[in-house]
Amino acid sequence: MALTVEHFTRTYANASGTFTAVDDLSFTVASGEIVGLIGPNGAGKTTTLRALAGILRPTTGRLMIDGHDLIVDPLEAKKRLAFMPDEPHLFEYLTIAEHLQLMARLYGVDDFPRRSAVLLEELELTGKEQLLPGELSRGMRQKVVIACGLVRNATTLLFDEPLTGLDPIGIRRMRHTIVARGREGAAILLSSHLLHLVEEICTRVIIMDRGRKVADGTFAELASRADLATAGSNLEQIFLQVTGHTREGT
Amino acid sequence: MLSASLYIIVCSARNRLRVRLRRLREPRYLIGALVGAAYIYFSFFARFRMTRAGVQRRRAGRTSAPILMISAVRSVAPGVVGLALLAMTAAGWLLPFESGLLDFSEAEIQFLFPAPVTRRGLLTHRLLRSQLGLLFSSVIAGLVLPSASGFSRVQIAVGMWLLLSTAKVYYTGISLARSTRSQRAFRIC
Repeated sequence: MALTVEHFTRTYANASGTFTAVDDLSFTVASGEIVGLIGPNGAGKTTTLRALAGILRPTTGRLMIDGHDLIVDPLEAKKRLAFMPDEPHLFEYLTIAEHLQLMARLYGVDDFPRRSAVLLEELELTGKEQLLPGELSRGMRQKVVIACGLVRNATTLLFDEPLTGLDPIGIRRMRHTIVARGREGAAILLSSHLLHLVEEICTRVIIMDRGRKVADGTFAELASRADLATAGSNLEQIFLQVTGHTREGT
Repeated sequence: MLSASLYIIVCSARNRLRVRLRRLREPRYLIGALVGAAYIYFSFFARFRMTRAGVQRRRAGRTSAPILMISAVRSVAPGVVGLALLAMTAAGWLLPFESGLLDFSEAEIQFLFPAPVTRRGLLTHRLLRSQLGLLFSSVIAGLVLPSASGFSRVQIAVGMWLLLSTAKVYYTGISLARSTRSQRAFRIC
């Protein structure tokens, strides 16, 4: 498996004691799979992705990238993954081209000039290489973050709300980009509140609520479960059923 | 990591300077820069001239009250500064003080934490990044503190830089030790 999460728990200490953001989460993502991670706000999606990216340490449990444990063998694990966060925080005084060059220095990217040129074209960033983040819209900054993640050959891609801030054309292109990376064999874990996007491009869906996994399967599998769906249910209806928000407005 | 770290620091400094210079096209920034330059000129260059004049007076065998005062301060300063440093190093452990060296920017968290970089590499990056600020502070100290010659100003700047760098590393060590201890305590709980 390209990505393995085993009994992952993340607890935070706060003034009133401890708070468990993710509780005993286990799942896998195989190469070529695009798995949608969905759930209401505070479900633990971003905590899971940030732990998989190596930003947060798990309190307990194991996180493996291509068989390399993120805690035991972090350098080998991190070489294989790319994380595209929901908030595009860029270095204030590095241009787009310099951000990509920085990735090449950090990861040792083969054939960097060609790869970066292709990617800049794909993400409509050609001609803007010398701009600083302060001169870019939020959508453009999001594209830069995604370009930085895709400029190298990562086997595992983590997307946290990748379409936030993009215009309709950007959304369409990004959808195409994600699906193309999946077809090329990357294991993709994607968190999004856009359920129609998840339904359209993901091969499997994991639903989280209050830090726990409450459903896991392909859309067809979830739709066929009598406890989750009725005939003709879409992902949104299944999601509302699973998370206990079936009444309108709750 | 060293190469990436230097790349971030050098490119950021260069682009920051470019942005500041570009801003000078706007009259309000240009006026601000001119006022700042005039302030620096009259503060420091005037001081240099006064210092040179003082040196010439001393060579001529004349002494004045300020010069005597400077000599008196110089004789007790090492002891006072030594005691102050001792108090500060002890206070670092006793007071709830945190070194800013472990405060990574959001961009550093997003780009460097998921990268194949060791913890030591991350700390080296923060240490390197803090050097620009420390060097600037040291140069300012060399210019501002009273001194008799250009060489002693360089000595003051180098000394300040060594002192500030050592303090940065020392207080980071305290922060790391505290962080490790609190993590252990959290796990035990």
